[in-house]
Amino acid sequence: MGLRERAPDDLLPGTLDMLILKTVSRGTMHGYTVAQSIQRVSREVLRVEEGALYPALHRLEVRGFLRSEWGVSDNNRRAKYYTLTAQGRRELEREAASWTRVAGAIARVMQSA
Amino acid sequence: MRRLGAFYRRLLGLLRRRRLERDLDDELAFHLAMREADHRESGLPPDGARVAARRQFGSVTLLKEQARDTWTFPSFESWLQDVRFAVRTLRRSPAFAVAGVLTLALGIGANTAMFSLVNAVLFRPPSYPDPQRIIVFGTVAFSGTEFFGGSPAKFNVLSEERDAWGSLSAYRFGFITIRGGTGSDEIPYAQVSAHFFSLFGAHTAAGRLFLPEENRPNAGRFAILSFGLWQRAFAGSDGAIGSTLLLDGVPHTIIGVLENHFDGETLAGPFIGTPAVWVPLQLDPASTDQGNTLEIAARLRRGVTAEAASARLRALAEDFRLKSPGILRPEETFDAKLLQDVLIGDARTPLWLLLGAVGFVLLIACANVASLLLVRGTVRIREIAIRTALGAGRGRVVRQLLTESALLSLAGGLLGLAFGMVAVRWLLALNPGTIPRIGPSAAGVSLDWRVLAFTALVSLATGLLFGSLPALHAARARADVMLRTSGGHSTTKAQSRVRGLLVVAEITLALVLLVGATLLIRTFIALQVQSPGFDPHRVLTMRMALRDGRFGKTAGVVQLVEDIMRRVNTVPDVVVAGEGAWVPLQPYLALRFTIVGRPMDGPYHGMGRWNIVSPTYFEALGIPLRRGRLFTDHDTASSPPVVIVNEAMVRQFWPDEDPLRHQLVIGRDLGPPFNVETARQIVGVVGNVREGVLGRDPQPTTYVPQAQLPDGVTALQARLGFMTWIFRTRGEPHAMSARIEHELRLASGDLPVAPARSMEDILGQSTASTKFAMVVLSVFGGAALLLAATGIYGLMAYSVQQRTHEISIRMALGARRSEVMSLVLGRSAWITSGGIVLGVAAAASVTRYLRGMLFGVSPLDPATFLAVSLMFASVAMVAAFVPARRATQVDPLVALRCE
Repeated sequence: MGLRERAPDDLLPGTLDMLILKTVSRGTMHGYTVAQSIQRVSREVLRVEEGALYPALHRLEVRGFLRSEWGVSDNNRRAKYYTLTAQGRRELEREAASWTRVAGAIARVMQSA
Repeated sequence: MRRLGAFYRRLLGLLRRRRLERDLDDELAFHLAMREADHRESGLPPDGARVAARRQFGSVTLLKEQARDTWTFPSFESWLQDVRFAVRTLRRSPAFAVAGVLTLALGIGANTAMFSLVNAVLFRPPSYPDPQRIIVFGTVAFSGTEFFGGSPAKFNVLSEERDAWGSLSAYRFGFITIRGGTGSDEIPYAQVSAHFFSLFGAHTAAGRLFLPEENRPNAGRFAILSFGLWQRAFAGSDGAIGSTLLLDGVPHTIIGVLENHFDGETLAGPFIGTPAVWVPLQLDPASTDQGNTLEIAARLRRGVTAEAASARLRALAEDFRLKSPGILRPEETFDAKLLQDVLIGDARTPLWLLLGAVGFVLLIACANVASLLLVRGTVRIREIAIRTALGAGRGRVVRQLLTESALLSLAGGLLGLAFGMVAVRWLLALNPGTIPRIGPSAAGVSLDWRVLAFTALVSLATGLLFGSLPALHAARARADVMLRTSGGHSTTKAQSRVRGLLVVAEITLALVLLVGATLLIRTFIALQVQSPGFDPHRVLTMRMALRDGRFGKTAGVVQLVEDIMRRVNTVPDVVVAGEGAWVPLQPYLALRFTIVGRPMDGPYHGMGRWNIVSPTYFEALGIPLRRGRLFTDHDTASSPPVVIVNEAMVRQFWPDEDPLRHQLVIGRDLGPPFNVETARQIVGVVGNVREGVLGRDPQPTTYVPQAQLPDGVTALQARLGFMTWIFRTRGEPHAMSARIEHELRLASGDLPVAPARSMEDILGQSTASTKFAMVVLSVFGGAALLLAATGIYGLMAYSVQQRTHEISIRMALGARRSEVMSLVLGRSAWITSGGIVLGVAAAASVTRYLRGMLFGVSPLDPATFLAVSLMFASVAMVAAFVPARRATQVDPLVALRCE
């Protein structure tokens, strides 16, 4: 699709989508909250840059995993709010399952040394 | 489903690009604001907070571009850029753009025009309901001969079938005379059996269709009018229904009017035209009439395949063989074809040939435009090199150049469509009157989706064709080499070679077209020069119908002929008058004959045209007597029966014998009126006359005297046929037609007479389709020659310009003008001779498809090939001469100083 999947140093490639889906699964939020939330929950280990965040959000929306609507934020600005769709929930489960499997495998390899 | 959803959302994004842009701005602005607020909260001053937020954010443009790619189609976005860039580039070189678009518009327009015609004839389905299920019956032989039509006896056998088809119908088309305001008028008419209108989906605009009982023998005389005749003769009044119409002098009761859009012309064919009157055929269900005068069609029942119908027909042919022994030859059987295929008939090959020819013209136009693009490619070498150096991939460069070509070809296509719409009218102005299915005043030729799709497709294909070569060529060149050298010398050389090959291809194609055109021109000349077997000059013909019931006996007709002869011979400028059932080049009847005393190896010995003539028929038409004698007034009903045959018949049946010693029995197998035919003594042999079908050897022909016709045949002829009067005149024949017609009416008791036609008119019409193909192909050939000459000129002019430097050095070093001349002309001669050799080879392998359209000239006629080759050589020389002369006028000092 000609998209450059930009992963920050500390983010495994391909995991950004999953992290976003997981974060949004907690409730409707706008892009800034998604980024902040990932940063906070990961205790500042994972930082999502805007240059990666918005393309990912839009990509997920186009693919039907997220739904968006325009609302007014706490500080009275026009803001775009994202919600997880049923399809997105299924995708999240699929990705989470595969992540758990891969992460477990990697952990086992690392421990065997 | 998910993919579809994503596609749909992207499509939506594409349509709402502007809103998408605004939303994106808002979303990013919101993000920035939030971050800025966070920074302020953590203690940064407002300005610092904003700068920090921005810095963290990175490239907004890139982000927007990515979002756009996600939301729409990335290729579309960059493609749009390509298009914008292409428009700008083309606008910067208007001369090139105009030349390219015009060349293409002419090529595409000519193709659109030709395809409109081909579409109307070959591709457009007939306007009858479900035409793919309408079949037409015929008799076919294993040898491949086929005849689509049938006799009343065959129709009766076919109508026994119930399962394979329904609405079986027989019909025939012809001319009939109608009593008009001034004298008589001949109009096309149709006789149709019971199910005709339901089979072809015709409805009435007024009145009703025929009732089943009105289609039985002797049920009375009824007529249905075409919508056109209703308007013309009755001004569309309802009073027409129930009134009486005199057809061939016989009163018919008008019972209905067909709706306006019913297409009778397609069935009747271009020779007859739109039937103006429809009358019931009134076939006898017990008829044993074996005359193949009908067309028979039926609608296949649903689920019945063409194969199943064919099998059923073969079985019915065996039934027919038992019922009417001796009619079908052992190798013959029944079969059927789709209506559409029968309607198209012989028109298929010539139309495909002309479409192929105009395709060649487009290919040559493509080659010219490709050549122009190659030249431009050299000019733009720096631009492309810079873009490549800045990181544009080869694919991207090719795409950019192809977009330009596509833009050119689409502009050419649009203009070509407009041009084609005009050109098709020119094409139809040449209509020889033999093209089926185009309808009255060519209403059938219209701009439908097929024509539009064809033009769109041709335009796109054209763009790819002429664009891909130069684009690949430009992209292959290496950026560093191009930037380093000033002109890109190696590229120019390769490019010049490619252009040379393009010109070779142009000459090849143009030569094939011109050879074809020349062969047709020679055919046309041969047709004009070769005697048709009769003398067409100053001969007037008039067709008379004897339908009014007075002429059931031969004696009555003989009396009529004598009365008319007496009167017209008093007209001062009539040299000689004669009469026959048919004149040459007109539809005719063929009958089987047997030669008395010769052993039979089949049911009969041969088949030949059959004509009923007065003693002066041959003199009036100028048909020469070769042996024996012509008929005289002494050949009467009471004298021994006689017959005259033509030379073709003698050559086939008595190559080494005296035909005058033999006797013929003609048509006796046809049953009733003919079964009283007795043996006729051959008393004379006359010359062959030309027939309607080009290039066919003359067929056997028999002539019998009017006075010796059995009464039954005379009655049949009076009911169905015509009597054609022939007048050899001293002056312009048409000038006397009114006077002669007046005498005919007076002498015949006001029998209806069809409009007069001269034999020159008839001869002209017989060559009209050859003339059509000749004119069209000559125009294409001429255009091709012109394009090819432009190609040679362009190439030589450019190469002289490129080599100015080299030439001036040569001249400074003492080269003579003639040497410089031959340098340029030599290259042109190489290219031209390559094209001519290839063209001659290609033409030799293609012209055999023209064979059916040629007469008096072989498809490989050496003179034609030689003449066309010489013409190309000289045109090419002339085209190259101008640049060559310019080369000799180069002033070495000026040229060198320029460097």
